[in-house]
Amino acid sequence: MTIRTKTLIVFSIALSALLTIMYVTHLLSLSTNYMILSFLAFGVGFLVIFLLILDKLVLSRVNNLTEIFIDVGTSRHMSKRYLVKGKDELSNLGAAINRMLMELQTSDNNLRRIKENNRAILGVMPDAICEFSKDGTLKGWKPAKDGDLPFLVTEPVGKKLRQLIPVQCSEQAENHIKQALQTGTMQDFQYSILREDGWHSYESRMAKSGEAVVLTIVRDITEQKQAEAALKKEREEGEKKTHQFQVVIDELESFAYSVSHDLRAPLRSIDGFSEILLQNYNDRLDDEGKDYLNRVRSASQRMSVLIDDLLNLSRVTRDEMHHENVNLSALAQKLTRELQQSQPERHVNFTIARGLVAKGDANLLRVALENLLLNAWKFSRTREWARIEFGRARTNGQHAYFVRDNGVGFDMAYADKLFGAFQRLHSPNEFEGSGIGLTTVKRIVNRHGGIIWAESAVDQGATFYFTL
Amino acid sequence: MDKKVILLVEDAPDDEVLTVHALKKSNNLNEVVVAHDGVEALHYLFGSGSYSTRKASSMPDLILLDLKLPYIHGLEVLRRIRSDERTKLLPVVILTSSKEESDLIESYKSGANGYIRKTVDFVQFSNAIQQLGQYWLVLNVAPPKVSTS
Repeated sequence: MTIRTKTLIVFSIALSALLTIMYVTHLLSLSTNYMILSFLAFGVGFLVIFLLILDKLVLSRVNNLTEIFIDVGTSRHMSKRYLVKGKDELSNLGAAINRMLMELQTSDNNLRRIKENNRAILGVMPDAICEFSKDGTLKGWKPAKDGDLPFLVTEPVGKKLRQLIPVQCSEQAENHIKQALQTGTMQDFQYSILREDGWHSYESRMAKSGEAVVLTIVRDITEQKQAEAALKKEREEGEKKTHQFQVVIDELESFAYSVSHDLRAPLRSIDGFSEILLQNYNDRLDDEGKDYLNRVRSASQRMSVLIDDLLNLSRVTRDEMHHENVNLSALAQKLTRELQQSQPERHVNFTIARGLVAKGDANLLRVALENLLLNAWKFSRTREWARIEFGRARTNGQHAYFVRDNGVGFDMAYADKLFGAFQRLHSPNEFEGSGIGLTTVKRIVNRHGGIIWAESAVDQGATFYFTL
Repeated sequence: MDKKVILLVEDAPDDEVLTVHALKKSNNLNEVVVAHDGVEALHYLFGSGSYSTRKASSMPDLILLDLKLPYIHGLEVLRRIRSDERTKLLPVVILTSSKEESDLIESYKSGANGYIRKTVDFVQFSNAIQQLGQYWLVLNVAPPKVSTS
């Protein structure tokens, strides 16, 4: 029942009582004075009862509410609640206030948590944190973890930017503060301070944190700057070295060209004129003279082969590589067919594994395989039934390609000399060659990131393994 | 049989003697004219400079051209031969000791008819020259002479 209904009932009862008093007075023909006295007595009684009811229904409850407000206002404790009884207006008001208090308590808790989070974040942040006013005055700050002072003065609070950092940077910093406040976007700028031990660099990031306050995180980036400078220097030196290297390569290139052209010309004269002497002056030369001239000719031709091999070796090292899938099996088939055609009278049994495909430079891999197969062909020529094999096997814990022959082999004691330039394990009278073939193969294998090794014994054939 | 003219452009004296020796061995009747550099070769062909008295209407039947020449490189000589109406059809065979692939490609690109490597082995070289002369001067049907009158 609402308070208004209760009040109406009370007043209705009072009015009925008055009317009853008037009627009883009239029936008993009592004097007017008596009626007035009865009215007064009734009025006083009614007033007392009415005040008691008013206090119970309204005043004491309003008082309760007021106490809660005062309590919340002074102690900021949001946990107080109004005890709701019945369903009248004051109960509704109380329930509404309770709901409001509950929401206030929730948001107050949230706010407190956010504050605690912020404090924790600021606590663990290694950087200095500053608060600047609109005109660039430092309102307060938390130094960096390492105690570094990112300002020119030791008592920075209350100082303006132009006193805190070098003047040539302060104007820029002030502009950034204005920008941050106007646009609400983060501003980033760097400045340096010269101290006794050299330049210290700082990165300052500014964000609007209130109508006229800018929060700034200042980070010491001296080490980062030094690392960048060192890296830049290193890169420049690297570029310089690359350039010098390129110059050397260019020189080598022109050297190779002149070797190929100029060194051959005198050899051609030596060989050519010896031959003309042998032919046109044949009748005037004795056998010894002819023998000497033939030796001159074969020496010059040997040197020509050497020059060609050296050029090939340098080309193998300097030519640019183009990686693609190379069918080594097909390549070996083709090369062995060519070898057989070069000496059809030889009996050689070729065994080529199928489907061996490697990633590498087709041209270089051809040169490598050609050299290995040519060696196998060469050193097995004393065999009536020679065997040459190309395949892939697991050895020394890794998969490797191999070229195997049943030829004369070599003594493993000299295996370390095998891949050195101009190193030969057989005399030129036995087997011809410049001693550059295996050096070339090794360089090609190395350029593909692989390794090469050999296993052999005298008269037991040889196996060359390589990885790519 | 007509006397054929071969223009040999060669700067190295030894190579000149050896090449002429080989050419004479194949056919002693052929006339070998030697130009010692690119400029001289072009003067000979176009009847200018020291060859201003030569009648430019009679062109050689074959040009043997070295690449590495003083003053004007062999490739440039070849390009000028190919860009002139009077000489653009002449058979030109490059005769060089260069093994560089780029030289080979550039020579064919510039319009060479052949490319012979001077080997160190003189017997091989001599055979190549003899076959060369046989092919270009006897077997091959030459392009029609360009009228320059």
